[in-house]
Amino acid sequence: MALKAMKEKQKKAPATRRLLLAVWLTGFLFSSPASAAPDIEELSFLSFGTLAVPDNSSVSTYTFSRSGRPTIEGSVIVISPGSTGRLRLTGFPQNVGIEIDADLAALTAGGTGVPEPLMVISYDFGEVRSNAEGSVDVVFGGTWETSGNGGTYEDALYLDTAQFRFTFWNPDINDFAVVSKIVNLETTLSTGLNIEDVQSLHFGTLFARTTADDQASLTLSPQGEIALNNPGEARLASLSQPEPGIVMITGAAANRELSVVPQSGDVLLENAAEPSAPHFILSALVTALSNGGRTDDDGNLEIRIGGTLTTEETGATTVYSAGRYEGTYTVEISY
Amino acid sequence: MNKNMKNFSKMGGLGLAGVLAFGASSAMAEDFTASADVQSTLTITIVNDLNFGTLFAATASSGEVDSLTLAPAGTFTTGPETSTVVNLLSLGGAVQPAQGSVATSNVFTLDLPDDITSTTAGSINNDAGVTEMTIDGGDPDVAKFLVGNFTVGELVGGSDTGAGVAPDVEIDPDFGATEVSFNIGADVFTDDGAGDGGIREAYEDGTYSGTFTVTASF
Repeated sequence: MALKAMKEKQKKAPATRRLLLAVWLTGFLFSSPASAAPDIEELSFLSFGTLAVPDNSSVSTYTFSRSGRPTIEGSVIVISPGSTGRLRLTGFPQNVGIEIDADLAALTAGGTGVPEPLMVISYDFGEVRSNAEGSVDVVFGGTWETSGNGGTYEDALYLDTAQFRFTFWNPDINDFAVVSKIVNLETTLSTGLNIEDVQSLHFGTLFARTTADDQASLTLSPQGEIALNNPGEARLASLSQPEPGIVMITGAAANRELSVVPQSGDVLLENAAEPSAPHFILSALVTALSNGGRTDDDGNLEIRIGGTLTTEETGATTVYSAGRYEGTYTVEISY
Repeated sequence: MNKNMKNFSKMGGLGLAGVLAFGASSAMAEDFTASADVQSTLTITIVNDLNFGTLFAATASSGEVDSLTLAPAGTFTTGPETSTVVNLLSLGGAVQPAQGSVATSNVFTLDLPDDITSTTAGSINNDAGVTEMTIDGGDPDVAKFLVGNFTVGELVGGSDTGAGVAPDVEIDPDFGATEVSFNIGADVFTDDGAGDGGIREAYEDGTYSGTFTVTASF
């Protein structure tokens, strides 16, 4: 409207005044680069980083400030830091304050909009003012929060876009002007842990004999030491060096204590070729964790697993048949 | 009780003898496999066969026998029977006791052939504890050597508990040991099965061999 009024006034002005105004406008145009059309370039989008959300039973909040400092409320773990968003504003009036407001966003796995979303509830822009050239770089952060409804967040890249509106005083039109820009937002959730079975728990080669009354046992420590107990005529003879189980956790948050809980119940090791033959009983699974149970600087943790293998009691003394005896045990690993 | 038997060969000879080998909570429950391999028998690894080296024995007699004892350490001494009629001498050569090993860290027993009940002439030939060494080719007219009274010694990686019923030996592996090696020696006697017509009265140059069985069990 201001620009239209200016044009009407210009039509009514005497020729000399029109000439002077033309000269003034020309001079203005040549002396102020702010008359160029404002432009916004997204130098880098806001990445909140790679995070884990171990528990969504209540709302958790993660803030990544424009200075790059993370603040966590609730169950969020930083696995690797993100990077602030960066916008380059050019063609704005000189030395003008720019107010930014932005739409909220819902980051979803793959940007598909499928729950559970991470709701971007605020942004951190700080004060923005153009320089003598009419430009300024805007660095910003943001805050998202989880749904807190107990739903599970899949491990994925979470994406969305948001419209940012930049409001500033434009002396050319003697009014406030607004320009907008769609910006990209993302975060990666990696709550799951990379688990690699480096070495299976193997009790080596054994000679074993059951009896009706006694049970022989072999205890293998996580460090690989063995202890045998052969009461009565029950026998467990170790014919080759047993190996403890070794599991590597990788890609976890650095310097973070993990919870590692082996199965507490018995596991039967059976000979698939002879299902009715005597079996072994694996119990008292025990773990030894590297670095006191904390991941190292690279987010790695080694878990060594031992346990006690016991012969069963049978009605008659029986020598275990040759062959491989196998069973499956569970280890629960979490932040 | 399951056992695994190993046959050791024994050799002797006249003149030059040969040598006998991972809801709301992020807990990941991951499954892992645990296993064990069962070997229902114990394996004896033969390191060396028993070799009496080169022996001198010209004749055999139904009335007298001569003998030598090869200790597990590999040294000869005079055997339980001596004779001035027949002579059995060691001429050296590749003398070595039988050597074997068992891979285990548990107490086990080595079962050896029963000892010879009677070593005297006239009975030793038919004794259940005797193992015969015959000349290559098995000529029945050539005198044999009679071997028995096997003994275990020179244990490495374990010790004799003394609980074995002789000649069997119970061996307790040393703490941390996963294998025990041992030597076996024996007595060797001349033949007392000489008969009319020069049968089995004389020895011939050649390689004499036979087989004896040792069993390892838990």
